[in-house]
Amino acid sequence: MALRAGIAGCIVLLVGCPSDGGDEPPTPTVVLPDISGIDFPAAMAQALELTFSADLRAAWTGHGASLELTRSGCPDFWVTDEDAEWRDHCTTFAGIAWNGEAAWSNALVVDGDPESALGVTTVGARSLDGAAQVDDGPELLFGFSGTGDDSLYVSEAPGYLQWRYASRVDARVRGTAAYPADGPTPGGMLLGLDLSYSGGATSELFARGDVHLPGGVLAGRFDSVSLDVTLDGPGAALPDECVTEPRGWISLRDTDAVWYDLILQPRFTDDATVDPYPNEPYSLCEGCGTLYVRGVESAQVCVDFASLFDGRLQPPDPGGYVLPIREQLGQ
Amino acid sequence: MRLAAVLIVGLLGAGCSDLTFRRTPPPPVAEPPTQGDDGTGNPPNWADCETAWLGQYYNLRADDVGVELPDDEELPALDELPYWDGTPSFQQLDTSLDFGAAWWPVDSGFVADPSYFAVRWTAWIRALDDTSLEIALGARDDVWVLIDGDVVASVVGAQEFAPELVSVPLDGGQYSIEVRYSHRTGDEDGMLFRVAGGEVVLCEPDFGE
Repeated sequence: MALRAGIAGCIVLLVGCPSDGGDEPPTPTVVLPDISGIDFPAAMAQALELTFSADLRAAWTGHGASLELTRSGCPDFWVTDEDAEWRDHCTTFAGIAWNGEAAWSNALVVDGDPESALGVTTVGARSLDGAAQVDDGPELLFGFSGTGDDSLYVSEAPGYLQWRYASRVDARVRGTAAYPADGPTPGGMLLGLDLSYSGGATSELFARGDVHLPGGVLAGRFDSVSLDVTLDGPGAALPDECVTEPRGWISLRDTDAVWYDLILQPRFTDDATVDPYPNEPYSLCEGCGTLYVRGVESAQVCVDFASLFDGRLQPPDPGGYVLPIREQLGQ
Repeated sequence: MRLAAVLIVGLLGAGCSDLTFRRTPPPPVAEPPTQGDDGTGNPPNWADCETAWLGQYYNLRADDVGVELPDDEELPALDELPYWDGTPSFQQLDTSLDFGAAWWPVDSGFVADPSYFAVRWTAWIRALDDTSLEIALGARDDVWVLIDGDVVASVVGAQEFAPELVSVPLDGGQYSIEVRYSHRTGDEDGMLFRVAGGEVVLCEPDFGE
């Protein structure tokens, strides 16, 4: 009742605002949160770091760890030469409960000779689909609902190396086997995220989609990230000052569901091909963008994106793509 | 109740001010460097140029010519394919054309996106003397390499990404070089073009006056 009365009061206040034009409709009013205590550069950097760690690997790790706990007949498996699936509602004598289903595949192709002019290419691919939950008594070991895949590409020749990793996950991933209880995201993640990054002769980062941290908090305030961003790293054909200059946008949502949108350079224009790009201030390669809070231009925020190219982003071990399914099951 | 209190306090605090949504005008679109030509540009200053390609990326629709072509139909000739006509989805400079598999750069919301797309890369190549240009080349589905407008190497309709080494004899001199790529079928792709040998220098086109 008090809430309704409060809302009614708000409406009355809004309607009751005087306007300059007499009969003109009232000016829309927006209530903005206090942002004075927020370190947006740090929060944005932390969000990017979190996003580029939100690939299929955590889910695959949880999936693999849970498979080590299977027992004959629990759960039931369907295995072909190319993929496998478990589907059951059962509990092992050790108390591991399996509910739902999960299907997966993995493959690795290595072709060529690294000492030849053609070189060698390594292509790995994994996928995981399902709605599965594995519990150890009261502890959730692994939960996965949705789809995901990732791929690894490595091209090597004498004096040459180029690699690329790509991941697409549309799923809710959780459980201590995927996200340790003492890690930064103990509640797991809800992902709708495509990302890729490359290294070697040239490097680039790309991410598009959404990351939600159920029960988690980023930079002490935010629970979700939404973004569409590209960064060219060392080796890119850009003026030196424009390397690691991000294009696109990054948005953070706080726990009150207020979005903070950092708008960087436009992605799909010709800013990478013209120097000087005649479109200041959007063309300035200084790592800065404009922060909008509820659509209201609020501040300039400059973020150091170079740390993403300091080697912390590495492709997965190709061995993770080659393990035969029967070995995964210990059979 | 707390929410209502916050709203009331917030509104009172605002004092019915004129704080309104302000739309930032969109940035004016820069002049594309290739306006009025085909992206080839001019030969670069070989003494001071960067190894890079102008990449023009095009989205393809599920009903475009050649997309998911039935087995009993033949892909039209390169000069009859319309994939690289019109305005690209975007363009950028690429320093490497070694993208490998599971590479999906174009997604503008078409049906089946990001599955079907095409790219044209343009650059200039200079052979310091008569040489054999060695190219590591692979694609799924198609890649064509054109030097001065002539196709010198291609992979068309490949069902798997399997790079191979291709040799192209080049007389000393400078040439425009173009690589066209298309992905028309299935949910696997792949692209590799890498200069693996030959006394050559490759640089981005010069779009200056």
